[in-house]
Amino acid sequence: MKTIWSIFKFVFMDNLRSVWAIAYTLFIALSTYALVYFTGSFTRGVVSIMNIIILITPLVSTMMTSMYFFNKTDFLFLLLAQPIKRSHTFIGMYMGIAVMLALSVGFGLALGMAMSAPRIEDIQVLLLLMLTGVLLSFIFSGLAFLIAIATRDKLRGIGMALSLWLFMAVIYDGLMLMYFIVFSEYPIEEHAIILSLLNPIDLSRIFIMLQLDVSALMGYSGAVFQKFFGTGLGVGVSIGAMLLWIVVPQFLFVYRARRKDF
Amino acid sequence: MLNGRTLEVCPSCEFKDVQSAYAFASDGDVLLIKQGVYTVSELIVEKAISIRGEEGAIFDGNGSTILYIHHDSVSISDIQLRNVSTNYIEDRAALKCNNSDYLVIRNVVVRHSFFGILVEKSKHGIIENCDVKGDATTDSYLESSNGNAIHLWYCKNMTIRNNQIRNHRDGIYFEFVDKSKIENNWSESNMRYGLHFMFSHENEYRGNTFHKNGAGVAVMYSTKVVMENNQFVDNWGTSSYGLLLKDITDSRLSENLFANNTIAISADNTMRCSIENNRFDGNGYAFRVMGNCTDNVISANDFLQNSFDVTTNSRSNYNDFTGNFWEEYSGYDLNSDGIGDIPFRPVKLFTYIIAQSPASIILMRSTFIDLLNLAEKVTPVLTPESLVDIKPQMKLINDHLKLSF
Amino acid sequence: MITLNSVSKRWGRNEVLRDIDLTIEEGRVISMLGPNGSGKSTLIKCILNLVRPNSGTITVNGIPSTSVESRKDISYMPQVARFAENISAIRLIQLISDIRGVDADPTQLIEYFNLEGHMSKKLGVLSGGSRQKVSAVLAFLFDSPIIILDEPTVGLDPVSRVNFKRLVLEEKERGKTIFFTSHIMSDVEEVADEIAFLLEGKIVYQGKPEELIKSTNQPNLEQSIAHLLKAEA
Repeated sequence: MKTIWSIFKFVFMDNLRSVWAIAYTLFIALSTYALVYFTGSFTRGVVSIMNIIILITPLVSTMMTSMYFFNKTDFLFLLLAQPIKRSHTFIGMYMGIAVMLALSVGFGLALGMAMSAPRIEDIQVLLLLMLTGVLLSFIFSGLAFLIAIATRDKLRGIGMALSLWLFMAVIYDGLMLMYFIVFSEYPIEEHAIILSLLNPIDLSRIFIMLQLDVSALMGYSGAVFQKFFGTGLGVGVSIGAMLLWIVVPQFLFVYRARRKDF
Repeated sequence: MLNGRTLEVCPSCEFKDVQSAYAFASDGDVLLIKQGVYTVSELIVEKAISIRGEEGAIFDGNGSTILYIHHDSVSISDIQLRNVSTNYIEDRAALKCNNSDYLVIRNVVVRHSFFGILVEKSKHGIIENCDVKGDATTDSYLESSNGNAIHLWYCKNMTIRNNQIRNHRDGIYFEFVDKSKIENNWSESNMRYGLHFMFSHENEYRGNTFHKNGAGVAVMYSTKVVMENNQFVDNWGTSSYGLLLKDITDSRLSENLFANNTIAISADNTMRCSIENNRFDGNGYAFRVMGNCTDNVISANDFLQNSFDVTTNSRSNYNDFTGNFWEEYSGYDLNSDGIGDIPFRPVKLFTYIIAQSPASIILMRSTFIDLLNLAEKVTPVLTPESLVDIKPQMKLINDHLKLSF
Repeated sequence: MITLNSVSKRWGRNEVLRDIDLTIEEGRVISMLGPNGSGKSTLIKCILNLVRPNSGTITVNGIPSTSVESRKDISYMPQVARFAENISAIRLIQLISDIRGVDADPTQLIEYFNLEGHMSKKLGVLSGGSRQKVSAVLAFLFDSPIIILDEPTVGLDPVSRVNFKRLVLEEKERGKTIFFTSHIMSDVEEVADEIAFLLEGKIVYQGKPEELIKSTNQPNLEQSIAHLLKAEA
């Protein structure tokens, strides 16, 4: 544990002091502020802010993680040459990057909100957005890590990470829509719920949408979704699914790293 | 009107109760009710008298209808009426009026009453400054256990103004009521509709507020309706409307504000209506128009912050959407005439998809859907090609329409 | 002592190491030579367990290289020293000390390499040479019995190079085993007790440099190596 902590601290500090981390935080803060400013209220801006969180956070997380991994091979070799377990090295590195990314989102959102003088009611939605941003940072940083460890080549690794993002953020929804249209004669609300649990970006989006009380817009289907996601069970399953998206890639990249030649 | 006598009613007055005072009264007399609670149950009023309360005068129905009014030129004012219980056989009301022309009901407070004020077959009456509050909440499901606050049936030339109406089944209910005016009323938290009318023609609705009613406002099977300067606010729920139009013809809606409704206006079989200078702000769907609506003009409205501006179930369109302000419009105005140089298509492909496959609403706000909407906007395939605003405005038109509370 | 026992490694179809037997004896300075792509880096990575051989075994002081324990006796100085951008050298040294669990005092080595003014600067702003020296400090700090250096003198200025070679010889006097790769033959001649010449994944010569010069009948090591390469071709 001590080695993981030491590596985490080092990687975290290294990332924290990078221009990218500062730029990322400021970007989130300024876009939050700008959206609140231009739409006149947090409640109205929140949908746009949500779109930034569920699109940009995964993108930045995958990219920054891939870049860090592939640009720091010397450091990685130095660590691997030390008398410590590979799993410690990788978990420490992953945590260092992911925690920095998560903090950037969380802090950026809080800063953007603070600048735009929030009301008490907005805090709840803000906290939900922050939670989503944090979870997505961990998830996509982990997935990028897994891809980086599973590929040899920098270009291919970054390409695959980018494709994964594109798939999760855009293409998956297209496939889902095709499914809905093909089976539109059947009650497929449950399928929709299961399909969305399988994609952390969709899950985040739906969760926030239902909190914003747009479920009334969604008619019968919306009532089914609200009934699931609005209960303790639904919240539990959703959070569980998000946590699995964090834990499983970690297991996979540790497993893969043990067998990898560097 | 005769210059009548004033008969005072109080425990220490000549008349100890309302019944005896009424028995003594003749046309033109005023029954002045002093402070106190009087049990009045099914008192039938068949003389042209006025009943006026002083501060703190209360009629308690003890479960039954309080006053039956069966005469012209009756006036009820400044009194509180309470405790009329639910009954499934007869429509009990605090005031039940039948064949009463020139009726005046003013400054009357109604509490805990099945129906509030029920008027049948009457003309030229006025109901004003009343405060009717029932026991219904939008959470309770038993519609039948609550009556309407102000209920008119077969009436003509009536005026209903400045009333506060809350927690009944329907706030204001009209059936076969013509040429009447409904002005500056506040209808809130009613279980079903804030305003509900059917077969009621040539009526004018002005300056009313319909707030947080279970299903909003429903107007059906009527012609030549004028709705101006009303506010339809916070009618939010799975089957809720700001305003539901069904079989409405030759009517005019203008200067209304629709804010935070699930569906601001839903139009079914509506024809030759003009919807102009209204503001749609923060609704789920601003305007849902069925394929059977024709020859309506939708013009000079502001569409702001709605999830969907216009939705339709049809691939053709026979209505005219010209010269509105659409917040989502992203065109330009090179010659600075205030009109966007490229047309705007307010119907999104996604609303069409939802109609086909309701479960796909789970993809709302997804990036893929945004891209799809964009593609459809460039080259319409599934959405009606003629549903297009060829003169989208660059600036807000009705900025003066603001929530008044 | 490091022992490689018929070690082979393939990358796909490409055989990088072929059946290598090599013993690096305690207390000796051994230099591994060979042209680019001959498998030097892979061999070092095998010893450090960064790369797993397809066959054969490697032991470090009797412990298999696959065990974490084996690396306790090794310090490693990589070829390029781009470890971090935004953190100071002293923090890097602190990190490695932490994870090795050794509380060594780097002051002497820092002075030796004239790094006093650079230790608190971000690594990203240091020159290549300075970073190389930080890397060298890391290699010698922990008093490991085995030190592996990958092209250690590349990028060092002449004075530092002289200092570095002196340090290697001093460490050798203290009984350290030093295994390094280099392209600079004069350095090899100066410090190496033994050379191992690697060509296309095979060790074609292992022995004293003087003997190689003698047997090839050449004036110096550089030309002996060139001769050897020509002969193999």
